[in-house]
Amino acid sequence: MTITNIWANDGVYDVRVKARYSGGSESNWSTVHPMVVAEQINFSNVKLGTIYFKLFNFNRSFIFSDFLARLGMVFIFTTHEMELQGYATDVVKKVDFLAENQLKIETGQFTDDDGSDGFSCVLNVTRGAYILNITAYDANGTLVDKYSLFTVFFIRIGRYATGLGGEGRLQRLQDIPPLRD
Amino acid sequence: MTGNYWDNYRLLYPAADIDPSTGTWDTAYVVNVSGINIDNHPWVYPSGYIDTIPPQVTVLFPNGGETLYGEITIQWTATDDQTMDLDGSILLEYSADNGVSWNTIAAQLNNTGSYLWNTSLVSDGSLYLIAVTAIDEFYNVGTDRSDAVFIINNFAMETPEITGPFQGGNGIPFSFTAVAYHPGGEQIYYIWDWGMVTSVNGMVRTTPVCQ
Repeated sequence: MTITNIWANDGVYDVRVKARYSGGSESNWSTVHPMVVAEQINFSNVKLGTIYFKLFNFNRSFIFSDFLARLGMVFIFTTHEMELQGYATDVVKKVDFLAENQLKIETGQFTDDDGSDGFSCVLNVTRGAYILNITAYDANGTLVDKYSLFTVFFIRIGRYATGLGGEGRLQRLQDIPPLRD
Repeated sequence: MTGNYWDNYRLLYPAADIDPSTGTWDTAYVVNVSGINIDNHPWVYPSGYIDTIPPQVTVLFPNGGETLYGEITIQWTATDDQTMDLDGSILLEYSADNGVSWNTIAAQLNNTGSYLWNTSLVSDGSLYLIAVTAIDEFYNVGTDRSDAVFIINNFAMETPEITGPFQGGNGIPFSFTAVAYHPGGEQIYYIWDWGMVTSVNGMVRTTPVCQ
């Protein structure tokens, strides 16, 4: 028989089972099946309460704000596309990245099933407030863990913010003013 | 003891009083609202009366040839020509060696005609007998046993094995599988112990594979 259980708290749990006949007799307890309940996946380059400045080659600057963390917010000021990286435990073999615009304008999605060089992706989204989800699966494709950031302000600045290069979902190409000669 | 002596009556009727005018003993009794005497023993038996007829006992189940496991209901009938219900006098015994030795299952039972017995409390075997004994007020003993041996086989149950994940995040549903088998095809229930936290480390983490 198969049964499902959910643990609400992290920890190491000793799972065991025994069988009972309807006649009343029972087996001994099985050997303990240790279950480690802990975080298996998270974003490594997008952290709650942080303001990131990823401008041109200066993409390592950030400020942490406890106030923003309490509000559940993240700000990303960037001239780049949305680059997401995750760290995972060794049980994780496939990771789904998902960025959902809160206004339902667009959704960016990517699956990375090659963790040899880590799990990462570049999502071609424009700008706005996004919900970021990262979901981990084991080798059998079974859901292992997931994590979400619910209010990520992705503020893309510079000429890329207009959505050139085929990403213009908010602004049509012909609306872009021509460059001066 | 034959029950023909006052000492025997005193044992049987500890609340009895002697009537000094007649020299006889009587037990306290009650007449209910319908006027019916509900005292089963309003008067002791006449002096010199001796009941030598033992209770008639018959084992109904298990009476031989059965293969049993788990909880079974032992069934019997017991009647007596003088003692009305034989309550408190029923003795149940079993023998695992075809009657060579006997062990008590329960004693001083009321004569209900049935008793639930968990056979998993005794070892498996093929030479089991059940004996039911009843004693009347004159200490006549009537007994009966299974007509033939029966088998107790509780199928030593294999310990189930668990298959399932060994690690995962909180709030995620995880599936675990256990398999056990009953040769008799009996329904099997599983009792799961999801464990207590044996160590808590906020962010218990195995080796990350990437940054």
